[in-house]
Amino acid sequence: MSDEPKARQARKIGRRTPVAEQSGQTSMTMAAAADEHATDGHGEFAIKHVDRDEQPGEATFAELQVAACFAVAALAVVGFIVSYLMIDPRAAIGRYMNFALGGTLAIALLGLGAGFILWAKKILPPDKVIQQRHDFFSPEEEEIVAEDTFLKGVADMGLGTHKILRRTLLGAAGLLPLPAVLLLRDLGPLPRTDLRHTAWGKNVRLVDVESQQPIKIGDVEIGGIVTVMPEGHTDPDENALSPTILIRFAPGQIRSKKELAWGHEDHVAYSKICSHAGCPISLYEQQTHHLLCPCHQSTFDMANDANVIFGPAARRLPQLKITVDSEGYFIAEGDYSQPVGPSFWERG
Amino acid sequence: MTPSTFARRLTSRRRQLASAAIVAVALGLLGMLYAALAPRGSASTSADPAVDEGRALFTKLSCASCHGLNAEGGERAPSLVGVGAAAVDFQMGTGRMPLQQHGPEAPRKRPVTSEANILKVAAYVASLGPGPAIPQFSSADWQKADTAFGGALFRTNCAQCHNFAGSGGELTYGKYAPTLSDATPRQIYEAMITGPENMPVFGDKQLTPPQKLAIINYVRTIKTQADPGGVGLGRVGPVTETVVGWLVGIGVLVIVTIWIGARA
Repeated sequence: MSDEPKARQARKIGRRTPVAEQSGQTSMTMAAAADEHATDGHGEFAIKHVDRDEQPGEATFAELQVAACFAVAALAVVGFIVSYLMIDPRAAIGRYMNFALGGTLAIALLGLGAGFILWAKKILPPDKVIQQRHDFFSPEEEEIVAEDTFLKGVADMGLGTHKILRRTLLGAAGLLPLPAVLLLRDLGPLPRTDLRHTAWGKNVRLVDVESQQPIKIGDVEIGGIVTVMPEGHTDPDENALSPTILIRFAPGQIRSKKELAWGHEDHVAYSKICSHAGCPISLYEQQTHHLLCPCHQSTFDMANDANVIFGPAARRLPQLKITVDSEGYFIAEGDYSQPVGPSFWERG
Repeated sequence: MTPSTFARRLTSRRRQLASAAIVAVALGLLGMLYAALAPRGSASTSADPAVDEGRALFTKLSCASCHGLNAEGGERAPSLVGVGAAAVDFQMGTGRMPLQQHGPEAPRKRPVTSEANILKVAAYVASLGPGPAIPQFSSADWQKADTAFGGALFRTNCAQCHNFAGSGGELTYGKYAPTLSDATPRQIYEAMITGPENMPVFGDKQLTPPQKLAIINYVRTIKTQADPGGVGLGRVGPVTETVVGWLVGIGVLVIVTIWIGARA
């Protein structure tokens, strides 16, 4: 057979005589195709003998290498069993148990694998085996038979005569995509105004996120920061946009008049949710008053109304207007005046 | 220059001299009055001998070269009035002070002097104004604190800068939050109540003393915890693990594959 691949035959569809006229010949064509297929030359091997130019003693050395690999693998298996049985996971040495088990098992598998590879490389005869590629297309006769079978099937269905079958089939096939379209509904419901509101409201107390205790003036030291949530709201869905940080400055440190006015006695509250991608921010540097977002390094100057001084954030963090109630606890004067968190399409 | 203007100038010069003399005399009188009325010896010594020794050490250890002879602060260093003994014990006990050089962050070093001397300087600074005192607690106190609760508090208040395993992390413009692996329980407590460098202050009303002890127990527990995988890789999370996985893991696989495919 030739080494060069055969050129693919041109397709015959649409250029042949109708199936009905040809049907008598089909079985003969198939038989002929099978015959040619048999002589097509799949899986012929040619073995080229190569002599290994070996130094004396090299074969013995290779044998030793392979044997050593297998011996190491065997020892590692023993090591695995010993470490499993002997190491007490609750004792001080227990911290090495995973390491010992994984290590010995890895050495066992690697030893076996390396032994096989060395065996194949150094001991098996280095002969070259050549196998020709077969053609990647079917013989023309098979294609014709397949085509004929398909076209005959279509003709036998008689779509032209069975009107009711044709109509119901079209109906069923037409309705089939509808469930996929209907499932798109689960992408909703639309957030409506949810993104514009948080759980904060008028006279809602600021409580510590961990202890749920309300916070008084003096609880936070100068240079301190605490993460607060609206009191009485524990539903995570409702609270997704509520996390807020309360920072206490030394008198005179706040440079923005609006920030000072919206805070209370050098305490200010800002949204903890980054205006860039919504990460919770609380890397606060009390000397520089920088608040750093760990996700993309947006940096806000908290002494200047959370102005963005570095990073991809496009807006300042929204400030929560706070004051104290009659008992001296911090309360919000209302919800945030603008949507908190990252941008969304309808934000405006 | 006409004689009249010259005379006027002379008069004003004389007037200035006169007022300066009056101020000098008044100051002198005030000094004598103070010397007469003030209790003897109080200007240079105090009731606590540690304070006096601390004052001497404050100059000797060159704290005064930046913080001023009376710890009033200067251009290069803040005033120490009111920072409290805890701040001194933390800053000198971790070797951060005396500062080697000005930079974004003072690194942890070996302390320059003994703990006893540090306590004396702390006593001196504490005598300047009220501030957080050195916390007193025993190791049994923090060892019986609630580790799980401490972990929750740590993740809310500390992990954002110091990393979930206390390995530390980067801040802005070269500043960083240091690793907590070397910090003693007392130093962790002091850092929380004094807020060294850029660390926020966590007062006792914000994190109560039992909560602080729980945090300390958590930090110390994870410090002594084993790395189940054998290597912690600095415990800084998935970044190093991925880098090692790709470079070392896949690198070794590629090399082995090349070896298997190479002709003998």
